[in-house]
Amino acid sequence: MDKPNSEPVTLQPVNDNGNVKVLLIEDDRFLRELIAQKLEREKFQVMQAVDGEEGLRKLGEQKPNIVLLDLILPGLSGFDVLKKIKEDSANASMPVVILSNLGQREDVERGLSLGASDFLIKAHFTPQEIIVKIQGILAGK
Amino acid sequence: MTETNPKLEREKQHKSIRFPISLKIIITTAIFGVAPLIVAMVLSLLAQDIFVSLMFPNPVNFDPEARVAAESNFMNLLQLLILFIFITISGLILALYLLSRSISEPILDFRAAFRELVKGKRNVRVNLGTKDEFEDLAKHFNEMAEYIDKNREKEEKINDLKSEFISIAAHQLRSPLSGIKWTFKTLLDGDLGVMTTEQKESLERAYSVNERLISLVAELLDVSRIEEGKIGYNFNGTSLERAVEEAVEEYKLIAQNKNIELSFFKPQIALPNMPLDEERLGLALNNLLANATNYTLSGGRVSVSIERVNEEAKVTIKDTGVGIPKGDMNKIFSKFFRASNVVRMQTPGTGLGLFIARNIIEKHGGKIWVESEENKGSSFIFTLPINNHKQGFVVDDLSADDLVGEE
Repeated sequence: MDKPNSEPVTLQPVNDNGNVKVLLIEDDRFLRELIAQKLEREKFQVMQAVDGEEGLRKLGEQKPNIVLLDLILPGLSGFDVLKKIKEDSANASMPVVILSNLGQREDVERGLSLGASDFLIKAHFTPQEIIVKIQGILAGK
Repeated sequence: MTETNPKLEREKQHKSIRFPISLKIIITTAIFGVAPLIVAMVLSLLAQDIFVSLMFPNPVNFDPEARVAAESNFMNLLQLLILFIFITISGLILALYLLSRSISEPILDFRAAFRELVKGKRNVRVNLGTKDEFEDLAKHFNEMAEYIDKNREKEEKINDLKSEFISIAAHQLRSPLSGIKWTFKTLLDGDLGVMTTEQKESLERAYSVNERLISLVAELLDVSRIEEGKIGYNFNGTSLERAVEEAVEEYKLIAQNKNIELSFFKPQIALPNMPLDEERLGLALNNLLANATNYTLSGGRVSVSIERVNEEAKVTIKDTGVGIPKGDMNKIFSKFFRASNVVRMQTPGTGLGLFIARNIIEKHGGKIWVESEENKGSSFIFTLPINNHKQGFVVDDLSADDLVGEE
């Protein structure tokens, strides 16, 4: 559990966030906007999708650098979306981070075995920490 | 009292075609044991004349031919006698064998059925056509098995519903909790403008309460998974020392901030790698260390030690904390139970930590117990088998132990 910092944390490699396109697939508007806001504040280019179908369409059109994917979505589930992303050779190497409130071991294992780069339980991470994860994955790529 | 009870009537009828075990013993012994004996006796009586004439041959009519005949008669008689004794003994042995089999076979059937039943298998029934006491016993056994089946089904249904409810509720709770957490964090980070120190402090308090709710949800989910029996364990060769050391390491800072001396004692001879689920064991250790540091007052000590006792590793987490009141000792590992003294301290806690820890240790084939005295401290001790038969991924099914062990 992290203690709230009294000073806003500044991220080290702020400069290159501007070239990073993040696709956010999340049906909960409140949560989507909170994360999008934080990402934009950190100068990421943010694309938002409310469900899996929209997410896949935007993914094809705009070729994001990384996808933040919720699992419980109307229509296609997050697992289906992940499978479709990884099956398509055009984006198979695109990192997908699952950001969900599921998080039992089978969910995590299923997500990772389908090719997700990481599995984050929403309630256990702050927006800041999610961004650090994104940067870590992109840097390690 | 002249009324006829139809059930009794039926039982009487039923009884009339019954062969109680005692009757079976008598009949079998009579047929296979006593009958050859009687035949043998009758034959030997018949042979007595020949026998007597052989023993006391008439000296007057003595002639060598008769003597030879008598001698051969004697040999025949001897052979016959030996044959009948042999038949009698074999008959008796056969009788005993048949008898013991007719008794032991149903017993073996019952033993197998009981084993299956205890294992938690459904529809275990014993079908015997022996028309004796065993058949009655089978009837009662089947009634009991049916009753157990029904109860288990009901229990499972309730458990499923409860777990499903908790899972859904927990999941539904997490979304708004994330929203609150992220909003607070955004505010605390100053993303929406600078706040006064007072505003920040009160928001920080709200944030930490929210964090408590989040961890409560995580624990509730763990518990519901434990009860669903769906927790999958992944046993891999792991160093227990390292796992414990890592957990202790995580509490170093917390202990330091509370001015508690936290020490870790390794075993004198290093333990071999053991099949452990590192993640789950870490959770158990975490829960135990959280309790030890939470309920030990400033200036106290917490020590963690590992030692080898025969084929087991023994881990002791000893504190000089508030201890557990005597009356609460036997409930301390129960779900949602918190000792009365710590409830009075108004410390946060869900009463799930030890329940979860016990489950994890037991799934590793180990045992956990506590020794404590109120106001003096507690020692939580658990053992883990060094050579666990479990390896790799094991899905924990709701075993008979769980069904019988509780309630």
